[in-house]
Amino acid sequence: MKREGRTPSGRVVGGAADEDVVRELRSHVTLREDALVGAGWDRAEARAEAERSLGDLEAVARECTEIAKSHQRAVRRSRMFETMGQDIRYGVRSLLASPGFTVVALITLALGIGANTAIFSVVNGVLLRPLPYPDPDELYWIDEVAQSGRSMTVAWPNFEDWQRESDGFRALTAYSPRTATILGGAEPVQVPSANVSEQFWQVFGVQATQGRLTLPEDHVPDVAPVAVVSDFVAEEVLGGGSAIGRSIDISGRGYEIVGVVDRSFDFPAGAQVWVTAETGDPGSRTAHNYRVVGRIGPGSTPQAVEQQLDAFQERIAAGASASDLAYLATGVNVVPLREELVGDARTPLLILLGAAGFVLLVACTNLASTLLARGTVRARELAVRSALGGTKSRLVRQLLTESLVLATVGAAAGVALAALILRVLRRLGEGAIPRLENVSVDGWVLLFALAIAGLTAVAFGLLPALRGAEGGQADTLRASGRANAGRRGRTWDILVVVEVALALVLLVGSGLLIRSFATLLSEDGGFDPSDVAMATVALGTTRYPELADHVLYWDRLLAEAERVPGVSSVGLLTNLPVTSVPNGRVALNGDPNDYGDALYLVASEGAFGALDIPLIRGRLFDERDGPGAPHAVVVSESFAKEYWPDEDPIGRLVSGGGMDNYWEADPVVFGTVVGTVGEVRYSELGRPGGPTVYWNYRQRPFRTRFGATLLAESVTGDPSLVAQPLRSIVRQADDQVPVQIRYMKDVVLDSLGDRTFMLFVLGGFAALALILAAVGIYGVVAYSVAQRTREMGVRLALGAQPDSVRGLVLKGALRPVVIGLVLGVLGGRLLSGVVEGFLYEVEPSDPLTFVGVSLLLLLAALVASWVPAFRGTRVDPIIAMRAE
Amino acid sequence: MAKESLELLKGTLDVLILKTLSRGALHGYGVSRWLEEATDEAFQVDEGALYPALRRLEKKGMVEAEWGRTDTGREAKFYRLTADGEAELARSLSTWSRYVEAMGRVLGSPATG
Repeated sequence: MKREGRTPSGRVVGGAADEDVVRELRSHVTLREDALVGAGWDRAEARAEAERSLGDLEAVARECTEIAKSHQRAVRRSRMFETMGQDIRYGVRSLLASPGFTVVALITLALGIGANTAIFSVVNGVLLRPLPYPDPDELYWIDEVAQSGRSMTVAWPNFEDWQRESDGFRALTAYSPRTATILGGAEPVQVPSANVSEQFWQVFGVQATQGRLTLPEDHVPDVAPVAVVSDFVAEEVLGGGSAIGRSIDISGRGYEIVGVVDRSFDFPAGAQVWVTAETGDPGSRTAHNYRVVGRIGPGSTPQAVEQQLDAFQERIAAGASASDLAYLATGVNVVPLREELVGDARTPLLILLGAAGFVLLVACTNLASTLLARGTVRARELAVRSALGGTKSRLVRQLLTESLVLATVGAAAGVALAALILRVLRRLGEGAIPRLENVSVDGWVLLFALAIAGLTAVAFGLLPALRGAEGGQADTLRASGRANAGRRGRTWDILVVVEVALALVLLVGSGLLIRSFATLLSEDGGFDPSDVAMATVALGTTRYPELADHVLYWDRLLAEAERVPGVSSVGLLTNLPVTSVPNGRVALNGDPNDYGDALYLVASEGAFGALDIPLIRGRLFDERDGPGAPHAVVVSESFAKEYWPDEDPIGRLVSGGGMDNYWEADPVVFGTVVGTVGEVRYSELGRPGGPTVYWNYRQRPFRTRFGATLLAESVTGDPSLVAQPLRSIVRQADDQVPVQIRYMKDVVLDSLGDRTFMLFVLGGFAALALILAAVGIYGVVAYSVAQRTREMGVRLALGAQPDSVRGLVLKGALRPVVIGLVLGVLGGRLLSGVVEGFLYEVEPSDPLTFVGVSLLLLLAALVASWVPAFRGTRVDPIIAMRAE
Repeated sequence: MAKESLELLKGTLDVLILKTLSRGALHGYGVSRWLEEATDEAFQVDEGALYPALRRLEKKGMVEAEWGRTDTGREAKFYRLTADGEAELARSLSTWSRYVEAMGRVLGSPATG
């Protein structure tokens, strides 16, 4: 509209003046000029006067133009909003008009978006969010590396030397996670705790909320022991009031609380109590009891630190004896702390995020084909709109708006669903996925949900919208939408192929996991966990300073437990199967320099009965093996085979090296092998057991002081029946001992935590994809049957059997399914490798799984297409032929 | 031309335009003529300010415009009051009469008179 205007007298009005403005001003001048001429003026003078009276013409024109332009802009804007409002209203109306479609579409979207949002929340909280410490990128985890390349935790003397050997640390700390039994509150309580070295607080940048943190003078041996607790312990365990200065008993030792920190600081893993680690014991470079975290300052790099410490460890290793070398670090590994903490969780989470993406794709495909079908049904409506002057872009925009409305509502439902799924995930992932407590629906997650909702709307809405708008031509009016049926049919076939292929890939993944899990569960761990209830008891050394007291306590407790009705067998064991059991050197044949490696446990004879571990040779412990008698030892079959092949192990001499103080006794106290028992899978259910030694708790109670488990086998097979009596006898034996009853079968399931997490989540996604695919196939077949009602009517009227007509429909429906299955099998072969790490004795190419899940999907597709095919051919041919 | 013209108070032009248009659709020139005649040429309407004022009222939705022909056959843009414009005029009138009344009471009071 920008055009140069001229006033009647030829004066140029500002180049940018609006045409309308110029025209109006010109009209004003003319009218005034006429009036003046009417009053007797000369026309030329009249014009001059008329122009003069308007003042600065250019300025007036400019001002008017500006106002006019901004007016036009406002009009355009409001028209756009009006159109959008119209589109949204129209979309909502047409969605409400077909509630069936809308509900199915919303559920589909909510499931797809919900699954993705939930998994993204986990990825966000676990992998993406920075660690909750100041300058978290400066924190590094330092591992020792053995000559074999194996990573090991750190030996105390190495840690002490590292502080001198590297100048890269602003602070360096060693800690060891423990479980503390706190006495001093209303009830004895067990909480995660840690023994930490001097610079622990500087490394993590923590401040005390009350009192003070531990100071260098606390971190020396033989001073009054002090503790820092979280406000959780201060308030909930000790019952409020000022905790500072209070004495508490932690795992059998008295401590004074000097400070309180916020409970949000819970490093390592849930710790609520921190005590000093410095014992004054120089320690051994082969005893890997500590974990080390350092804060590397801006003046250095992890590479530089690694080089310095590598060089140091090499020097140490060079001077070591050959026998020590296997247990010594020859180097170190410096990795970002976050990487270490997230560790193995990264792979499963990324796999699950990918799987969730597949679910969303299936959902989109499904919606696209449904919308396409709807588009055909609405072709007439769209044709009418287009005939009435709706442009193609307007129609596309309208249909896309409809999709966006759907996606937005679907996203809201999806986020709500995600919050629900997250609850389940948190429970499933407990123990298997670190930092799960950080997971929540935050701004990033909402943004993610919004973004995928938008993408989804475009993905499932664009194709049908373009098709729909294209269909809106005059011929559609005549042909009632049948004209495009052929091309639409092909599009649908492709959508079904995609849907089936995607669903099959997910099914293959979860099928492999299910097979693995079933194989693993059927694995014989060498013990029977089904009927055992247990209570773990840590007496500590304050109230039970003498080893003999521990023996007396356990004697009494075991005797009491045996009298509990419904209990068939009771026993004591220092560590449980499938958890992880300390191993170390054992001396053989009475010679401290002849040694091997074995798992080390302390047991009572009843433990073997309670867990159904079979006696193979000789005998178990009995009354002959009292505290004063020569030490008796029971070994596992593999121990006997490993160290005395083809010889009778009974009567051989064994001692535990470094695992108890009988090794330090002079002379070393050896025990005599009295029997051999079956192998137990102590490290994990999926790994065969190894050489194991069992000592008698009456003779070697040393390790029972730090915790041993009372096992009780239920006569009925249901361990929950003996839980209550078990709890009360432990209470009666000593009411300062915290009691928590657990079941061995739960311990076994918990040990499979990361597998169950993957299994349930991936399995859930696969089931979702299967259902969505079936629904999608059903929709497509039902629609094409509806479209072909007339044709079928003709066939039936001409004498075709309903069965053969049905066969025709099924054949048409199943062709894309079969193509999808073939593609899915190929895709599954390509992708199944990513779950390889989660498989147990199942190959990623396991044919049974591939065939099984393909059949499952084929069956679902058959049912989904048979139902509408059957319905479609049941109609009266005459009615069918009349159908439009 | 004997009488001295009064300068229009700020913000009064809009009300005058609305009032003028309340009698029927009129073009800009007609508005300025009528204002001069109705006030017996007491008000000097600045024609240069009239057109921007009309445009502003149009943007506010108080008036709407349409091209047409005058009695003499000349083309001109005719402005008409909208419902919003009528409401605004009613509001302004009541404000003005209260204003005038109050001013009259103060200025006409015996204390100063």
